[in-house]
Amino acid sequence: MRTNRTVPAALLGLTLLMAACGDTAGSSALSASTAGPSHASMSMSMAPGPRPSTAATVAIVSPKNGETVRASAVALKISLDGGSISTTTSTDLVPDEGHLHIVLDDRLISMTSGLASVIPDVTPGTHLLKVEFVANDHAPFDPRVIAAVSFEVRA
Amino acid sequence: MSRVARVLLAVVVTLGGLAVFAEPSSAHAGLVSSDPADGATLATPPDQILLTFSEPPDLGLSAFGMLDASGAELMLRAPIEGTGNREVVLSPVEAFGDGVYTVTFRAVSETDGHLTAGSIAFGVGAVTGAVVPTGNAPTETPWPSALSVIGKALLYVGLIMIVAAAVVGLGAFGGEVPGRRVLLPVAGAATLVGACLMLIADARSVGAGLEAVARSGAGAPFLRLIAACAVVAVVAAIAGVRGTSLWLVVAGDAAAAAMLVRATGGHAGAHPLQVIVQWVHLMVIAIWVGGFAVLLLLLRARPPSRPPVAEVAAYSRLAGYALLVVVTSGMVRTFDELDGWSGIAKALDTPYGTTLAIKVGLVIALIGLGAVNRLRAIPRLTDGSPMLARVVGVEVVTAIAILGLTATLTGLPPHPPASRPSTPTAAVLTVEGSDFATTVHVALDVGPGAPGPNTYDLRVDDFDSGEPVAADGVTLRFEAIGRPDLTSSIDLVLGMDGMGSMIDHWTGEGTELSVPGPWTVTATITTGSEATEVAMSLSIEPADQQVDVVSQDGLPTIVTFTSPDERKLQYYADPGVAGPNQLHLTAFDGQGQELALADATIIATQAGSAPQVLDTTRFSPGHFVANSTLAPGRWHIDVLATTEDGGVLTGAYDQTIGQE
Repeated sequence: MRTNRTVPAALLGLTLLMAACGDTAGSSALSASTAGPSHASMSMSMAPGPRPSTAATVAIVSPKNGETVRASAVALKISLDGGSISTTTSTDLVPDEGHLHIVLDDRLISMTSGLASVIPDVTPGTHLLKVEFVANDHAPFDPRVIAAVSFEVRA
Repeated sequence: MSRVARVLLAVVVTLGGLAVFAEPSSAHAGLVSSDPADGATLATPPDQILLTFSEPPDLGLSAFGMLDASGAELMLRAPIEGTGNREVVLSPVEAFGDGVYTVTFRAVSETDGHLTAGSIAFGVGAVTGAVVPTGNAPTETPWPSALSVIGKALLYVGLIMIVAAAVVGLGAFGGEVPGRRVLLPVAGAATLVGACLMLIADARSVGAGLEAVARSGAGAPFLRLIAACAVVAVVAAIAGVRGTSLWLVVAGDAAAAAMLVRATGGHAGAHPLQVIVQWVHLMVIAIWVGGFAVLLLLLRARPPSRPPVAEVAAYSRLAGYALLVVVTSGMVRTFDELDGWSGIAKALDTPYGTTLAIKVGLVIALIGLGAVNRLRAIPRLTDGSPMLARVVGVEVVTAIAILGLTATLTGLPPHPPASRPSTPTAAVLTVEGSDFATTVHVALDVGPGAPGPNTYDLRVDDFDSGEPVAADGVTLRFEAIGRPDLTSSIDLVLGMDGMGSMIDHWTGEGTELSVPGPWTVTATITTGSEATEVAMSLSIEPADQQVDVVSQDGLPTIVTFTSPDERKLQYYADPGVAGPNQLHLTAFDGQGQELALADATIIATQAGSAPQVLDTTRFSPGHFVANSTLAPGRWHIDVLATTEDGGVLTGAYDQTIGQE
C-alpha cells in the first residue's frame, strides 16, 4: 500500500512538471515570428488579429445622394445608429464605440465626433463624400461601416 | 486522510497559492529602466542619467561608465542613490554634445551580492535608435566562478547532510545515524568553509578586496551566513560526539536556521514569501536527497542478515511526501524566478534556463530511481539483495550532480540583462548607383546597415568598361530624408589589403547614419579638377522592433511597430490599392493610449524610384494622415514620428500596392 502512495505522488509531481513545460511551449508558439523584414533584429508577425465588429450603421442625411448644393460650404448631417461617439484614441477597442472619418473625393478631410458640421471651400463640380464610423484606434471595423453620397456644387 | 497527508496537502496548497499570488522576486540587480531610456534621443544632453535596478545595487562595489561613439570614456561623478535605494544617479563631470553615448554598469546586488553587467545607449541631438555599444565594458553577466560553485556546493551538502541526519535519523531510523562521529563534524565544517569560499568568490567577481566586500551592504548576507555556519559547525561537532537525540535536534535546527539565512541572501531574498518557499524547498530537498546518503550509510552499516527493512520503509514514506513538496516548491520558485510561463520560455535560451533544464532532467531521473527502489529493490531487501544499496549509491551520485547544478544556478541571473542594447547583426547593406552622365558606377557597402556606427566600403568603376576608376578622393554626404536637420559627410580613404597595399576600395567608419529611415547618400568622386556626384538611396531599418501585421479581407492592411519601450506606431494605407490613398499614422504609449506627437513623417519609396516625403496633416495629437496617390507595385514605407518629449519612433514596411 505504501508503494502505491509514493508512486502516485511522484506521478503527480511529474504531471505538474510536464504541465509547466506544455504551457511554456504554447506561449512560445504564440509569440513566434513568421517573416522578418531585411533587418535581422526586427521581428514580424502576421497576426490574424481580427478587427472588432460593430452593430452600428451610419448614413449621410445631408447632402443627399445626387443633391445639388448651391454654396461652397456644404452642410453635413450624419445619422449614426447603434454606435456611440468617443473622443478617446486608444488600442483598447470597444465594439460600437468610435468616431467618424470624413472623406471627400478620396481625401480624408476631417475627423469628427459630432453628427452635424460644415465642409468649407468645396469647389464647384461633382463630389464623392464618404463617412466612415471607425474604431478608437482610427482604423476600420470589420466589416466597414461606411456611407457614401455623390453631390454637386454649383456656384 | 492521515495527519501527515493533511499536513502535506496544506503545504502543497499553500505553495500553490504562493505561485499564484506572490510577486515575482527579481534576483540579481538587473536593470529595470533608465532615464534616458535605452535607445532614446534627447534634444539636449541630460544633466544626469538615472538607472533603476531590480535590487538595490551596492554603490561601493558597483562600477559605472559612460562612453561616446568613438569609445572614449567620459568622466562621471561618484554615483549617488536616487529617490529609492534601487535607483542610481550618474552625473557626467563635463558637458557633452550631440552624439551616441553608451552607459555601462557592473552592478553588485546588496540583496544577494551577485554581479550583473550591462549597458544602455542613448543619443543626443542628431542620433537615435538602438545603438551598438562601443566600449570595452562587458555587457554579459559572467558565469559564476569555480570557487563560487565549490563554496555553494560545500554549503548545501553540509547543511543538507545535517538536516537529513536529524530528520531522517530521528524520524525514520529511530535516532540511528551511522558514522555520525565523522559525518556531522565534516558536514558542519563543510558549511563553514563553503560560506567563506562564497564570500571570497564574490569579492573576486566584483574586483574588490575581501574587507571592502565584508564592510559593504552586499557583504552583509555573506557575513550573516558565515556566522550561522560557524554555529552549525560547532553544534554539529558536538552532536557528532554526543550522538544524543537532543543534540541531533539542536544540530538540525541550527542547519535549518542557516538555510533560512541562506534563503534570505539568495535570489529569493527580495521577497519574504519567496524566502519561505525557498527555505521549505531546501528543507525537503535535505530530507529527500540527504536521506539517500544517510540511508546508504545505514545499509552499509547493517549486516546482510539484519537488513533495515522497517527503517527503509519509514524513509521511503517520508521521501515520498518530501518529493511532492520538492516538486511543488521547485515549480513555485521557478515560476517566480522566471516571471511566469512567458519568462520560462524566454529563459530556455539563457545559461540559467539551460542549467535549470538539466537539473530538472536529473530530478526526473532521480524520481525514476526512486520508483525502481519502491517497486523492485525494497521488496528484495528482506532477501538480502544488494540492489537497494547500489541504486541508492547511484541516487547519491545523481544528487551530488544536482547540487552542483543548483550551486551554479544560484549564481546565474534568471533573466538576461533587461536593457542590454542589441547588437545589430544585419548583413552588409549594399546600394549602387551611377552619375547622370553615366560615366561611373559606384557600389557602396554599409555595415552593419543599422542605426549608429557603420563602416563604409565604396568601389568606383568606369560605367562602360567596369574597370576601377583612379579617383583622387571620395566624399560621402548623408541626408536623412524628411529630417533636413540630419546632414553630415565623411571623407573616405583608400583601403588596404591584408598585405598593407592600397586597393581600389574607398573606406571609412562613422555614425552618420544615426537614425532609422530613408537616407540619400551622395558620393562625390574627385578626379583631378573634376568632381562627379552619384546619389543613392538606402533605408536604415530600426533595430529591436516588433512588427505586427493584421490583414483581413475587405480591410486595409494594418501594421503596428512596437518599440522596445512598448510605444507603438500604427500605420495603414486606405484602401491600399493603386490610386488615391489615405496613409494613416497613429502613435500609442505603452498603455495603448494616444501618444501626442510633435511631428510625423511618412516616406514612400517605390522600387527603383526616389523616396517621396508625403505631406501629412494632423487630425489629433497622435494621429496624422497623408492623402497621396500610390502607383501599383512594391513600395517601401518609412514612418517617422517625434514625440513631444523628444523621443523618436520609427518603422519600416514593404507593401505591395495592387491594381484597383
